[in-house]
Parts: sequence; C-alpha cells; structure tokens
Amino acid sequence: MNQTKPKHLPYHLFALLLALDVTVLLIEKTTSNRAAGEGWQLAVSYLVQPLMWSIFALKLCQLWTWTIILGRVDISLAFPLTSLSYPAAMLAATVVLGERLSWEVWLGGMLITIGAAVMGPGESNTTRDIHAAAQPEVPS
Amino acid sequence: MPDRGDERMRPIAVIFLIACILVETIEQALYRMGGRHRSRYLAFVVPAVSLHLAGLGLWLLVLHWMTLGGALPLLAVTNITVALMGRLVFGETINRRRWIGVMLIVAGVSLVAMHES
Repeated sequence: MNQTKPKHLPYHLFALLLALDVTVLLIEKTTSNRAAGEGWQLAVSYLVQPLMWSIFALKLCQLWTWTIILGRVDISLAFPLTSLSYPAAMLAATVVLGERLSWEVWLGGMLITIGAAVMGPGESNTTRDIHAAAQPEVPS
Repeated sequence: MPDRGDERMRPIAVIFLIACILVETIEQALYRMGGRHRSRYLAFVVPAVSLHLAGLGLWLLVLHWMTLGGALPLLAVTNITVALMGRLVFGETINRRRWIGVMLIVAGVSLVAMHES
C-alpha cells in the first residue's frame, strides 16, 4: 500500500503541543509561587505538590505529540515553529497571571509570529523517509 | 538578584554554550528518527531524553558563568542548527521563505530572551 504524503501541517497536533507547553509553564510558575523555604525544605515544598507531578505526565504527552509531528513534517519547519510557545506563553502570562511585559518582549513575540507565518505550511514534508516503519521493507 | 556571570564572555562558557546547542541538535535528530521509525521508537527516544538531561547539566554550567540575559538569546541559534541538520543529514529542502521565517523567529526569540530575564 502506498501511503500518501500529508501535504498539510497537522495543525491540531501543533495546537496540542503549544497548549501543553503553556500549561506546563503555568504550572511551573504556580508551583514555584507556592514553594517556600531554603535548601531541602524548598525542594520538599516543591515535591509535595501534586501539581508538580502532573508536569511529568504532561512532559510525556509533549514528547509523544512532538515525535508524531516529526514523523510527518520536516524538522526544519516544525522545530522553529515550536517557538510560537513564546507568544502563547506571553498571552497566558498576561491573561491568566496578570503579568505585565515590556514592549520589547511583545515585539519579539510579534517577530516570532510573523516568522511562523512567513514559513507557512508550504510543502511541509520534503523527504521520503516518512512512514518508514509503516511500509514493509520487503518488496510488495 | 544574584550577580552571577561576567559581563565579558569567558571562552569556557562559550564552549559549553556551543556544546548545549550541539546536544540539543542531536537530541532533535533522534526525536525525528524515532518519529519516522516507529518500530524502533524507544531506541531513538531514550537516548534523546538522556541527551536532554545532559544538555540541562551543561546549560546550568553555562548559567554559572554567564547571565541568563546573555546566554538565552544565543541559545536561539539552535533554530538554525536544527534546520541545517534537517537539510544536511535528512535531505530536507529549505527554500528561501523557510530561511527568512527561521531568521525572523531567531530574532524574535533573542529579543524576548534578552528582555524577559
């Protein structure tokens, strides 16, 4: 069976990846706000928070999503696009945490967004090794 | 605010920073291979995660010698090395549009990193 090359970016997977990224950052910020003490006390105050442990689970989901994306899309396209987590995190920090950011940071976020738009989906996969495992190595 | 690092870049810090960038580039290459060869997924992803931890150690050493505001913007170069790796190792085609996008993203990430720390 010939697998057709996906022409478009898996937007839903990218959206999931960015959402996971921002969620992890928000949880890290929340747990570090709640943590207190010094030395071992500080370490323990991190580890007793259930939220802290959810980070590991979320990181595993991220890893899984990321490798699926790389299975379908050029890494020279996918990797730079993950920088979209910067503007996404900036929005989340402003809206959820009420942080205030300098104009330079917003300008940087805009540059990243414009860069991502310029790259665009284009031809999202330019190599042939896609689905290497899905296709049996014996001739059909 | 702890006054870590030197205003001038120490050669050792630069060497470790370059090592960080190389480690992450190799780590990403392994993720890509894991994603493309699902039958040998763990054979690629486990070393990649180990490299990630090694890279974290290197990064903490870099931060011992450099300020975060000085080191983090330079780490954005990883976008370029990963794209180059995609082209040279995996034969991906990078057209002019894609390069311009990469450069804009590197500039943006550097700007954010310089001012958020």
